[in-house]
Amino acid sequence: MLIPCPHCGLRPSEEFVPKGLAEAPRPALGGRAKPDGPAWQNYLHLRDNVADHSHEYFHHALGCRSWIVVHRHTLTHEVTGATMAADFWKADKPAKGAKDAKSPTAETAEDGQ
Amino acid sequence: MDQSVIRSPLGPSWTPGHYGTVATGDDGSAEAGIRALHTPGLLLVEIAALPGKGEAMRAAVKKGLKLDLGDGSPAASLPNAVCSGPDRCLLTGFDLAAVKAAVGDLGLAVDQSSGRVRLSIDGADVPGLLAKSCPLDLAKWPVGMSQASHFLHIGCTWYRRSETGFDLYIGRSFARSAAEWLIESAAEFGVEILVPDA
Amino acid sequence: MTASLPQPMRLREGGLINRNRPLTFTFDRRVYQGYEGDSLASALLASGVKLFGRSFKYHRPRGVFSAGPEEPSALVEIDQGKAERDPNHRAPMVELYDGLETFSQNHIGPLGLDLMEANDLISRFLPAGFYYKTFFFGGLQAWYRFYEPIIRRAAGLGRPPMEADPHHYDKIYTFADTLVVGGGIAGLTTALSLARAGQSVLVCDERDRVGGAALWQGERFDGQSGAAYGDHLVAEIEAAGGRVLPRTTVFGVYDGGIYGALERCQDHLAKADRRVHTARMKYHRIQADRVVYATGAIERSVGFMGNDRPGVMLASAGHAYLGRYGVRVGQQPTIFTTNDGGYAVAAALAATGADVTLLDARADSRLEAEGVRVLRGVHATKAHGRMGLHRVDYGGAQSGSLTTDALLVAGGWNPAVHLTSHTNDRRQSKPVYDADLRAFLPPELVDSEAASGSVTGALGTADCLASAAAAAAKFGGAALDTPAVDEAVAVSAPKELWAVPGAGQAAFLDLQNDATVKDVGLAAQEGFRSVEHMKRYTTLGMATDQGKTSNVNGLALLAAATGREISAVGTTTFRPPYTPVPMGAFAGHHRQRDYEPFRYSPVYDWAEANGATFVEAGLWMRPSWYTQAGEADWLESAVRETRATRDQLGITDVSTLGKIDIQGPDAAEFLNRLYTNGWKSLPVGKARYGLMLREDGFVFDDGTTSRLAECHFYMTTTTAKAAAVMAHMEFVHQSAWPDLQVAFASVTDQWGGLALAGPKSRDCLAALFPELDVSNDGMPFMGVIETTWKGHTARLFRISFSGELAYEVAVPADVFDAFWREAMAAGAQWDITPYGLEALNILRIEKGHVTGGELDGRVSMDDVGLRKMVSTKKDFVGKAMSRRTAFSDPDRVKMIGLVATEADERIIGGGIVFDSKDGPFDHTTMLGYVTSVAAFSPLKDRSIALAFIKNAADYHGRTLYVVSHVHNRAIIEVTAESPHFYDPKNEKVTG
Repeated sequence: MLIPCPHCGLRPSEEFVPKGLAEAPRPALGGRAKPDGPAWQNYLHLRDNVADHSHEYFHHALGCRSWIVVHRHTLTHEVTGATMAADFWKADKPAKGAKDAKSPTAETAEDGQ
Repeated sequence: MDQSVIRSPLGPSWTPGHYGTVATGDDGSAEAGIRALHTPGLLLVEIAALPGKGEAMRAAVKKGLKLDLGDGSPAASLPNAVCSGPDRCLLTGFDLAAVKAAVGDLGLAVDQSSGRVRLSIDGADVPGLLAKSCPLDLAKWPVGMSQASHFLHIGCTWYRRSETGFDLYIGRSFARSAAEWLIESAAEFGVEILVPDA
Repeated sequence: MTASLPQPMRLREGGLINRNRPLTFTFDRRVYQGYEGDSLASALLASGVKLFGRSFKYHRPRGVFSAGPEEPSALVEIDQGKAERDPNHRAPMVELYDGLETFSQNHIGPLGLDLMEANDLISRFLPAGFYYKTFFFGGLQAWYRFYEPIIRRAAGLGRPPMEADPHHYDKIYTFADTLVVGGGIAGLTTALSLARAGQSVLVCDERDRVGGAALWQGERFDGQSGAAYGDHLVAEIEAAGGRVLPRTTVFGVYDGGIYGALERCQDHLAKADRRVHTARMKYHRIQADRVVYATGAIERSVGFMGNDRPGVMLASAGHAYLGRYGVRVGQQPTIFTTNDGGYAVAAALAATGADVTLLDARADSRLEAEGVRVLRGVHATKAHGRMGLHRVDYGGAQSGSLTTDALLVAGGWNPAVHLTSHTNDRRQSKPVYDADLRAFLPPELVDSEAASGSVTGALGTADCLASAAAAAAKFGGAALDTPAVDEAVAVSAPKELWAVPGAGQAAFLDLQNDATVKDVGLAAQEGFRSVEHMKRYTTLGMATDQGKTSNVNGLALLAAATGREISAVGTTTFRPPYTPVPMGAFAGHHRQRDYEPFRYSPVYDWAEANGATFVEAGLWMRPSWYTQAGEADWLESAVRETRATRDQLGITDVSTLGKIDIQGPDAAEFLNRLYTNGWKSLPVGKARYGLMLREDGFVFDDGTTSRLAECHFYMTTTTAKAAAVMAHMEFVHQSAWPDLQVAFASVTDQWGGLALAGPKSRDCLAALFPELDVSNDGMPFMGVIETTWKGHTARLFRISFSGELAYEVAVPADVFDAFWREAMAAGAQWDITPYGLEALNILRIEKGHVTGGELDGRVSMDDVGLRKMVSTKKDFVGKAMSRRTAFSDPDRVKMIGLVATEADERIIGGGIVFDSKDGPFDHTTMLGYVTSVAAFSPLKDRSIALAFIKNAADYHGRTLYVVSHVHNRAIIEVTAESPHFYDPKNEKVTG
């Protein structure tokens, strides 16, 4: 499996450490306020586990040390792109399975839908 | 600074001389497909910009240290300023105070002279050694570009100095194993450990 | 040269062997001769050997069945000493070299008189599923005492090597625009076209020489032989910048354009010719944008009685031995064919003067072959000759019996589709059955894949070249002139014949696993309708050959037995590797002491020279204890080091601690969010102990962090969690707070660190830094001073892990060895004693400090008594989840100290804690468990431990029992008390 690190380019998965699905943003800092239990539960534990396009955190540990969000199809392992984690929650999330100009096989994934 | 108290990070296996396959050159002398060099006591400073300050930091480095880091991408690396991550760079030959003065409050500057070891390799068979040790495609790696990757699964930063010349920046505590493995992997081609210039 | 040994089956001329270079080798200790260019199989066949080994289950005598990697029967051991005994080499794939020593496998006593042959006589009682059924008869005891030992002894494939593999292997990262799998004429043609179009092309061919079937079929290209034309194509490919790797099997296709290939670099060379510094094999991890499958096709057999006899083989094999090696497999051969292909080998054998009969299963065929007697509408019914074929019975339109010494079966071709269905990157990835061709073809290929040659189902050279051009066109290849082809082989799709009528128990499908036509019927009868279930029940298609010659016949018969179409049954799932790969090749350089890198402290050499015994702590090599003259064991050394530290002065290497340099205006805010306690008020020049939680509220790590300047902190982590803490900090910074104005870098390797501990540590520090005021006022507890040592930065911290007055000093790693030696010299007047991890452990257990044994990922702050570390004024990582109700459950285990009652008894690590010695010692009565043990505490004059138990506060002062179930339920009596055995008021460290 190859992962398109936004900083380094296409690299083999052996350079990366996966963390899990990026499905919910970290709840905002609470200060003294009582923490929002359901939001935390959602952030930490609740995953849809879809057989479809997904967003997953990977750490480029043997590389540039960036945390990135990889767009991967869980059935075909097709990787359609990756975003810096720092940018992922800032902008509107890219639509799942959205075509990525960098990925030569983006079209076949959509055709397979 | 007392230089006499500096000790090499590499073990006894890194002793100048020829290792591995011996090919004989036209003049009858032993030829090595790979030459390798470690320079002890190299000044090395790591810099990293604060979020959103990458461009400003590069401008400050250009002004203060006369180093043009371009857009900060790996392809814009210089022989003495090697990009090791986003808005992050390893500078060699500058002391910490000078770098701190240049970077100011735009980012981090930290001495890594002891923390990182630079091994330089060159020679016709270097592509063969790289194929054994790192997952990078030489055909897509222009001269002057750095790549943060690994050497036999030890995290490192590579820099391509020339067609067959590469610098390998590796953590000091790993350097002894890395140096042994470099010699073992290069033995197929023959490797000459060079004596550093005094 | 040795006297020439007879090769009765070798023809005077022909083949691609070098007759000027005879080679001597042995098989079962007998000496034979062959030629350069021979395989082991061809050389043995040339010498008249028919019997190659014994089968897996029934120990039936077996010969060679094929001339390629699909070989199911002729498996041999190459023996060069205990460590290099290498089983299951396929004889057709073993290249001959001078001095090769080989042995047949899987028999007791001589090959010709195998004592296990009785299995064959009772084979009717050992049908498919016998192994599973043994579980029913006689119960488990019968299985262990009777069936299992017998089955283990009887079934097998060779003997494993008994020592570590002495060879070296390499992993190679290889890149190409286009990978071409297979160096037959079709693959080479496609490759040349793509190379000429400017692509970087890599061709991998599993054989020692390219050309594929054209090496022996006899067709000509522009007048050239297949071998010459193949060499010509290779030269052209290389001239266009492409690469061709022979002896390289692409064994797997993986996601994202990754391919696994095994290059055999040394095994074909005589021992003296092997290159010392070159790997035995290279595992290429190939990354390619596009792939061309030019994997060819594998011939299949037909099920009939005795079709496994030595002398029965695939027609393509007989043709290959003749064409490529100049070996005639029989003087009086019989061909049994279901298609036109059988005529070519019949004619080729007849041309050598052999007496050839051809049995054509088709009544309507009109084909003839020169000099060949043809019987039409006829099939083989039974082959005779246990040790070597001598007669074959036939039936059908007419019946009779023929004297024959070789039976070549042409049952049709199975395209080698294996690689085309390895990945799941398309919805429909299974091979597709073509009812006209009677063959499975590759599934629909994606944009980055093409197929070339007979793998597409193409029959005949012209069709293969057309498919090669089509594959090249798909990837934008350059136009090539098509060679004029002189076809040698008539081709047709086969008649549908998977097994002849009446074939049963001794009609074999899978020769390697002894799976028969009857077994498939039995599987269907017993309800194993899925082809995957049938495979597992009958073992058809398992083991080293993975059913390359048997799968399709088996599933076709399953389809017939269950009344379904072949396409509805489908194939089993093909998985990597295509052919066996030694484990060593996957490990590459990373085995034994090179499995992982070691990390070395800058004072490793000093420690080694001064009696240290090292322990691997993660990747680090750390001194465990320093042995002095007269010390009997590690404990004696560790206790001496502990006492010296408590009484005088100890020194230990703390270079392995994780160290992170943190800078920026939000650095304090960042620490506030990472740690449970507050950091904004920490003054410059002070250190603070910090505790980190994971997001889910459990304790993650601890350490001290110092403020070096308003916006500059220096964090330390435990050695074990250094990498995890760094990754965690990067994660929360980048994913949650990317705008926080902070930057950090790992400086673990930049700094060497030592701890001076004990009552004389202050004196020693003063001696090292005479210009500094290190008095209790000048440098109070948790004080930090940044200074220089011989012009190099030095950082002094007054922190303690041992519970003594203690300091840590960090200097750049380059000068740390020199600094350490100076500290040893400065401390000599107080008998400075270096101590290792064992003494460190005793010291910290006495003090009640937690490490990885306690912080095991299951403990909350309350469990380890660190709730006081929580700031209520701010949020931090893990705060929300640390409030979960389960964490305040009174039944949760909490940390406590244990002291052995008897001075000479050691508490056992991992022991379970109970409050009664009467038992039962199980989960219903257990209070908790021991996490860390000091085998001997000088403080308590006996063994002590840290443990986690329920209702810990209630047990202080009470007698408890530690039971180790893995030490014969040894029971150690202990007394519970506070885990802070030593100086609970912290007067030593602050004084």
